[in-house]
Amino acid sequence: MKKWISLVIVAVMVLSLAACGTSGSSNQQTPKDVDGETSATVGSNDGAPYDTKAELRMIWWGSQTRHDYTQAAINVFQDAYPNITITPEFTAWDAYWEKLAAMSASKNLPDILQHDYKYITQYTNNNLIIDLFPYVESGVIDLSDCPESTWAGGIVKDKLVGINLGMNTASVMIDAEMFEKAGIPIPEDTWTIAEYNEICDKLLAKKDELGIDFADQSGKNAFNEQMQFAFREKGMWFYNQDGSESFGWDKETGKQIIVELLKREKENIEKKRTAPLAVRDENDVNGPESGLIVKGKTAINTANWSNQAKALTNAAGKNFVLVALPSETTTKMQYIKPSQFLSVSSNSQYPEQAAFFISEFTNNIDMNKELKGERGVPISDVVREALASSFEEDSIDKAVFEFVGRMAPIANQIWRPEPNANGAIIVLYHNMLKSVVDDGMSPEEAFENFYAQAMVEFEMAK
Amino acid sequence: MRYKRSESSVLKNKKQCSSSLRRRIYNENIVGYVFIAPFIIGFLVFTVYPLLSSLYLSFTKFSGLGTPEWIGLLNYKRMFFLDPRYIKSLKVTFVYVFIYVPLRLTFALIVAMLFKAGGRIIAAYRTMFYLPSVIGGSVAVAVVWRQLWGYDGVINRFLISIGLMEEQFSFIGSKETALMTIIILAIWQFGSPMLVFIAGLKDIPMSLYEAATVDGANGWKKFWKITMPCLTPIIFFNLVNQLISGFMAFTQAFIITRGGPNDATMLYVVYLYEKSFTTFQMGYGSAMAWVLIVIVSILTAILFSTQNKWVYYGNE
Repeated sequence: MKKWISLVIVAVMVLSLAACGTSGSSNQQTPKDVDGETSATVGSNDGAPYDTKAELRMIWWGSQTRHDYTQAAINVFQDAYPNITITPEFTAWDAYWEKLAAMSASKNLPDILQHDYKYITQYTNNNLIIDLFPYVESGVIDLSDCPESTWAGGIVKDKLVGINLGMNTASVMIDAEMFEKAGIPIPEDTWTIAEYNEICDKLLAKKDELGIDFADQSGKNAFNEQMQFAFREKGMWFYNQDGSESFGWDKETGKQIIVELLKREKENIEKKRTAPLAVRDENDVNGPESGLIVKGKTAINTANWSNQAKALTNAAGKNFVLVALPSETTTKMQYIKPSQFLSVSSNSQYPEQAAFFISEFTNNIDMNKELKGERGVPISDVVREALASSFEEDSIDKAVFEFVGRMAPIANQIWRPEPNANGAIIVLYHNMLKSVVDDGMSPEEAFENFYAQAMVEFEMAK
Repeated sequence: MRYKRSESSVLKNKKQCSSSLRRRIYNENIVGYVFIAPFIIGFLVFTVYPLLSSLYLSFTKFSGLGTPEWIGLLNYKRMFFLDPRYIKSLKVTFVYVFIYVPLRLTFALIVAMLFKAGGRIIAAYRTMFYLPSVIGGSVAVAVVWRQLWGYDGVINRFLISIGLMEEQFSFIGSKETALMTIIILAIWQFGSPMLVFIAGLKDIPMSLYEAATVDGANGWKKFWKITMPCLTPIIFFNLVNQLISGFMAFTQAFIITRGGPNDATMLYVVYLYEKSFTTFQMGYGSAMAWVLIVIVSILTAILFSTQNKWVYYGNE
């Protein structure tokens, strides 16, 4: 009996613990030299390209809607260029980067990768994606209809490693019906934080009539943006712009700015201008479609990305009005963010065809009619106009296009891609906020903890 | 004649030799090895190799891309001296394990006592009580749980309607209550220890109870003097099992709270996952996995060393 039990226990333990071991692949290889290869293969685009058959693989993350739209666009491309076949692969965001890491270890990355601002530096540093400038110069990739500001976000260390698929910008969503009921005019894009506070207080005064619990749902992203803005308004960047793993400010200056921000956030939550952090967290886990603004329990929702407006509108069954984020002064800290990129992997056998596909993805109006601007507002002026005219009046698509169009000229410069430690640092500053708001820690002490941990994260991410 | 004999002896030798070879080939052991080879190969490739490579990775900085960079014991040092979030996740995990294991076992034992008796209806009941364990580990139940305990959830509405609460409150978003909701979900899945308890209860000889009844013992006394001592091996088995699975709890905390708020439900494996797969510090994640193995091994060893004191095996 005793022996039997011991054996079973040992077996159970061994088997179960085996599941804990992270099975990171330890395959090691040196990526081939990318620059030498591309310059040799770049040809000119003579209009009727590619007599030889090329089979390309393409991978992206996203929702079912995106999969359907992208597949339709690929079909349009393949009909026009029968010699190039595109085999699609797609997953959700979470699994995407794990999958890509495994593929890169076995040197089996798809030819065309959808990429994100968050990871593009890492992939560039590891020579996993190629520089597309040679293809732009030879005319394979046509950017003549795209203002430089729209694709410059894809430049890492003087290489164009991804072509921006769409423009996004953070927005404040406003429930216009509720504002009307409360007799408050819709704010201008130039509104300041003082005006924002005033509007919130006015809404709260009519809380019971409107049936709201808080004035502003305030998504998790709101604090991310405020953090960046707080430094931008003082003429600094949150992260060092030289690409190193460090902040763009020294500890004392940063302390002042962050402590100020923490106090403001705490005050807003205590006055019910914004929802408690617990509710924000929950909303973050459940997804924006189940947020309070959708249920009519707040009148404002700060810092949703402009491309999320459609999902929220569909969920709520009514259109929201988009305005810019408030800042200290009337100068906007808002910036235009590349929603995602298409990059070409360094192990691609057909880099030129892949580059050509990306060019078509950007410029081909028929393809973009299938893509429906779901990845953000297209960067090509011609495509954007063609799409805008195809939208119905009063549709949210049109409102989003108009909003991004309105922001583009007044937008601030975007920072260079974030350092590797960014993901960990975001968690740290959200925890800092919770320590102050929920646990009553002093902002100064919370900052010290945050700073010390951030330094470790930078060190480990180098 | 002599020559012949020697030749035949050579032949004989040869025959012996080949038959011994044949015997060796057809030896039961060899056959056995061949039959278990698929498992052994799979075990080596899918378990031993990843296990060893994770041991190697735990001494490196590795983002999943490129080459791991050897950094010696830095990951281990970071865990205990430079990472307050890690220490917090250790604390949360210990609280979780030390609350949930005793409660789950107590529940399982109580229900097992009720279901000890046979009968068709009891069997159907037993199945119903086991159901949460089958579905309880799943993502779907965790999602439902999140909705139940959320700011706008059923529990909220119910407590407000009966007047126990005045305002809506996010149970899963508040640090005082978040871990509790996850522990309740874990306790609810007491099915598998319950089944083991039922089997153990049925193993206790009726004659003991009959003798006790004759001697005039009441139910309470019978439970403490007969049921509990006879059940100790089963309790021990369940205890070790649940302890190990408690340290490895992941799904519920990951789905319901993602470790939040402010790391209040940051169970060990959730933090390990966050470090390995959202910030891509695979080396650090591997180091954490190995420390977890050591912690669980030590606790298991301690439990084993105490079993002489309280576990009663009938044959002693």
